[in-house]
Amino acid sequence: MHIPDGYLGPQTYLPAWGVMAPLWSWASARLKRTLSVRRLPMMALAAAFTFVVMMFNVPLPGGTSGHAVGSVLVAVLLGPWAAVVAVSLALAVQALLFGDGGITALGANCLTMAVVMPFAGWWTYRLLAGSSPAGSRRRWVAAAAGGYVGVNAAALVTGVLLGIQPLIARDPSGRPLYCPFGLGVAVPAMAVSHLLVIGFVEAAVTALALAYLARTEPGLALADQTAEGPSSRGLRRLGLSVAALALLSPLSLVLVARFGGGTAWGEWSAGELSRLTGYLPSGFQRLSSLWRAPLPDYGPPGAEGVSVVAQGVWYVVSAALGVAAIGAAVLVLRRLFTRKERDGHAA
Amino acid sequence: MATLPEWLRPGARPVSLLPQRATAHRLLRRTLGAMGRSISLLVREPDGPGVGALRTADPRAKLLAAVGLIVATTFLRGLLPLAACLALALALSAAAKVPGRRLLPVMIAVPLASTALLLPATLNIVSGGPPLLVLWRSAGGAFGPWRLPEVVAVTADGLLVAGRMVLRTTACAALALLLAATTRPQRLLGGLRSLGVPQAFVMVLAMAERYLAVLLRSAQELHLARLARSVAPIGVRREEAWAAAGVGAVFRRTRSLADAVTLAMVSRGFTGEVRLLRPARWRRTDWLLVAAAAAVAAGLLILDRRLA
Repeated sequence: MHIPDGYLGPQTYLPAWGVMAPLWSWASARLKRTLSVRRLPMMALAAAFTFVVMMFNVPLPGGTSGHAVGSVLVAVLLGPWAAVVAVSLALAVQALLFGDGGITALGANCLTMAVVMPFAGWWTYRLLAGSSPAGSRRRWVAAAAGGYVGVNAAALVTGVLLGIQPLIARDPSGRPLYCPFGLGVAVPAMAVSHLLVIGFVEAAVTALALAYLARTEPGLALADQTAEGPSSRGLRRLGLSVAALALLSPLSLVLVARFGGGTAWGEWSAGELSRLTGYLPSGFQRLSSLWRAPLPDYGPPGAEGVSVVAQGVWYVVSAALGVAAIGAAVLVLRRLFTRKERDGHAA
Repeated sequence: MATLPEWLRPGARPVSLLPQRATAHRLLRRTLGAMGRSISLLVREPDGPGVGALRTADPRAKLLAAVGLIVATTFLRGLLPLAACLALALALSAAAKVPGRRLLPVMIAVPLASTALLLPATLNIVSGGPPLLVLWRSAGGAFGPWRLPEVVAVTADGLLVAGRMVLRTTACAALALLLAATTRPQRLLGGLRSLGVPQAFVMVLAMAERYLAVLLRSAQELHLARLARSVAPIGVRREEAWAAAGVGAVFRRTRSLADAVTLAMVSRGFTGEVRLLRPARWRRTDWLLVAAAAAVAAGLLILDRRLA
């Protein structure tokens, strides 16, 4: 997932550095409050640990091999902010001393592997683990889910960063200057390989390392069981950011109306597809009549040609309904897991 | 509980295991090799005096010069300026006597990997433009919702785009390698102050580099112990479990080492404040190096705009 130098243009890697600078100073300020004297040696050792994790090769089905990134494991063990600093430092050592991953792309690499990955993984892990005891089955299932979600979120962002290159940097005759593959190629290429293979390696290493530590070191305190983890405040912040994203969802409508774009690539409805290509594949026609969404195209049923403002309101309503549906599903799963565990304890 | 492996059963012929053993341990050996190389890079001997002017230059000056050149390279568009940049990096590596076993793997692996990744970009499907060399022709048609292309061909535009990418990635990698190979790790990380990195980060990076060798040695011993004790492949699932247990063991070592280091630092008067030694003064040759790099970067950029 390391992006080398030369694949990202300055229009992308400079903003990535700009995003990382305040995050690094925020992370180190947080660690100063919580770890005080232990902070510097712990961070140095955690960075070295992350580097070593990336050297463990795991064979994959089919004869190749891959390695885990370990950001989610560090987040689970030491807290997500510690992971931001430790993984960033490990990536810096890799880029500067070993030439692995680019120097200009270091900001973007830190953004994906040291911010997106530990936080996506951490939130998933916290949501599923709840307050279960350290060695419990539920906790390592949560760690596996965290590893899987974290590495896939990072891969998605990497794919987007690579995929926007042909859109934003072209030479005078229109040829792409940096990574030539658009979003339609870069995102699926990153997403499919991580969803199908690499995500499972990350999940296995995260969960099994946690299980190993719980078995061999019963007194081990995980990040969310000490003062170092953000505990429920992190969850509240997650809720707030999801709400903010839902409220921002009509932004694309405004942008499309302003710049005159079309529907997102690959998300055409049956009508749009037949208009675009001139015909409709019969399988598509059959499939599209199988399921009629309660809110087609995130708008009120049977509303064509309503104003952008009304559509925006419907976007927010659809987003809220979607978030509520996913939240309810997660709560049901949580309840099921807790009950199973209680039964297990009783037996 | 695991079943008794075939080779432990009475009557198993040890000879038949030999080829299997070789394939089973290729991955272990490769990881061990990578770890050994990393350790030897970290703890190599100090460079002897007079092995080229680049080695004796101040690390801060070298960092500024190298990062400046790499950033300039990412702005270049023409094939000629990019090739000039790569040639410059290689010439400097030769002048600084960067050993071939360090230079060659990077200079072979990076262009090969980039070329493999960018091969599809030379085709008309990705890059468009008039065809140069037709690879495949068909009647078109559709595959599900996708329309099949009628012609698959290499285009001039595609070759230019891919060539530009391969040259740029290789040039950047050569410059980064030149910096890393001519500067000792501790001095290189110490030089980051000149790029505006906060003191605390520089200190932690330098510490991380020091203990990285220790942790890598632990991981290396784990792999060596495994290699010495296994005779046959154990399957992907158990291989994953083994790697995870290894990661867990290295984490325990990390924590105990962090505690020991903290105690040692506190006993020597560490209160959480960062103090570094006063850095050496800049010499005239160091300024000269930065000025020369800036001039080369500006020259390349001007040449690039002229050619465009």
